[in-house]
This record gives sequence, structure tokens and C-alpha cells, in this order.
Amino acid sequence: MTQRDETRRKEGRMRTPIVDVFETAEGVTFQFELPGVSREDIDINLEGDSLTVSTHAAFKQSEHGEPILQEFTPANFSREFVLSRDLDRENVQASWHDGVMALTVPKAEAAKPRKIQISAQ
Amino acid sequence: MSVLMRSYRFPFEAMRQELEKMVTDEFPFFGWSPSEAAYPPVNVYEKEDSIMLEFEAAGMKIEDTELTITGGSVTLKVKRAVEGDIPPEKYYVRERLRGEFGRTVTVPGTVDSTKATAAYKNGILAVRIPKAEEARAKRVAVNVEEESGEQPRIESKEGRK
Repeated sequence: MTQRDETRRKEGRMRTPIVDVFETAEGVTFQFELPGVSREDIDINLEGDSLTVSTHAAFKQSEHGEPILQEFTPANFSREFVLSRDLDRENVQASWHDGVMALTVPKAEAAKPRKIQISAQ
Repeated sequence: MSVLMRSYRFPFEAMRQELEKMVTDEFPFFGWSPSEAAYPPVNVYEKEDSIMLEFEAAGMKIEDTELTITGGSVTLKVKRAVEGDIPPEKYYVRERLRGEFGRTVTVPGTVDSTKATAAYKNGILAVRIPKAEEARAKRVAVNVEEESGEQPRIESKEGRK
């Protein structure tokens, strides 16, 4: 996370998205909740071991009228994870649906469970 | 296999749940804690002719959602699905809410619920309810009679918009 991101987060202009991360037999799935952001405004960045998901939506001053109750402030998201070397970063798959972005990082072949045959003597 | 080396809140889901039960204070490193705040958060805006509500509910399924407007009360019920097959121990991070949630918001003034519209886009449910005809602010032209004499001249002003 850069210094700039940290400042923006403190000022409430950057939010930490809610995520689920779970492991399946094939790999690891990340689900990022990114409400209010359209698909084009999502950046997925893989650099070395680091996976960063951030958004760059331009939130306009609301055209809906005078706010009389405000429980959330639309703001961009950013969150970083460090991936294990056992994951295959070359084959990341991403999908997006209704404000949730799912990323699946498959396990590297070497990390998948293998059956070892015992050779008869 | 260690997939995540940092950037997660707690290493074990069970421990996280236990701690969340015990700790009622706000998590200092997480601006909005899902278990404490009412879900989904809502913004309400008022215009001259309508009320607009925005519910922030990513990943909501329309078929599991119920929106009702009774008088000036807007109620949203959301059933958030749980990924059934995945046992909790397979989670490295498990922050997304599961279960049933509901919010009731009372909107100001008199609204015409029969003309309400709702749209779900990018995880935001937007509900627009027109104000009832009689509740809309009317422009009233005020005539001020001019009097000759020493009284200051009063500019006529329109009523509230």
C-alpha cells in the first residue's frame, strides 16, 4: 500500500472492501465486495507475490437530491493480499456480478495433491 | 498450504468469530464492522418531487429480496446465501455476511408508493418514490402591496421551492 493510499483511507476516500477467501481443490478463490463500482473501474494488479484489487470510479456529487440520511459514502476500494508461491499466478480468472468480483488463482501443478505409486519389489 | 501471508484479519475463522462475539468495540482497523452495523446501509435523498433511497448490498439476489412500501415506511429484506459446499476451515478470510437482514426506513412527507420504482445495479439497490401530489412544495407568488409613504419598499419573493 502506498503512502497516498494510506492517506486517502484515513480521509475516508478509500475503503477496504469486504472479502471472503477460501480454498478449493483447484485453487484459491477471492470474493471482493465492491458495491457502487462498475466492472470497468476495477483494477487487478499482480506484482510478484502481491495481489492488489483497487477501483478508480469517479463518484459524482449525488444528483439524487439533498441527502437526508447517509450511512455510507461512496468511495473507491483497495486491498492487497500476498499470494503463496504454490499458486499459479499466470492463470488467474476473474468474474464480476452485482458488485462482487471473484478471482480464482489455481494451485500450481507441483502443489496439487498427488498419488504416489509404490513400486513392488 | 499457506496461501496468505498477511493482509487478513485473523488466522482462524473460529477465533475470529469468538473474538467478534467478545469484542463489542469497533475494530480500529476496519472502518465498518459488518456484525455491528445495520445491513444494508442506506442513503436517503430528497428532491422536490421524489425521495430516493440507495441500499448498498453487493451480491444480492433479486429472488431473495423483498421490498415493501407501506405508507411512509420502506422495508427491505435480504437473504444472503451461504456457499454451501465449502466448510468453514477452508476459509482464510470470511467477512461477507450470511443470513437474513432487514431494514425499515421511514421517509419524510407523504409519498405515492404505487408509483415507486426500484433498480439494482453494481450492487446498489436504488428506490425512487414520488412524493404525493399534495406533499410537493408549491410555488406561491406573494404580492406585496405598495404603500406610498415612509415604509421601505418590500420586494416580492417567491415561496419556498
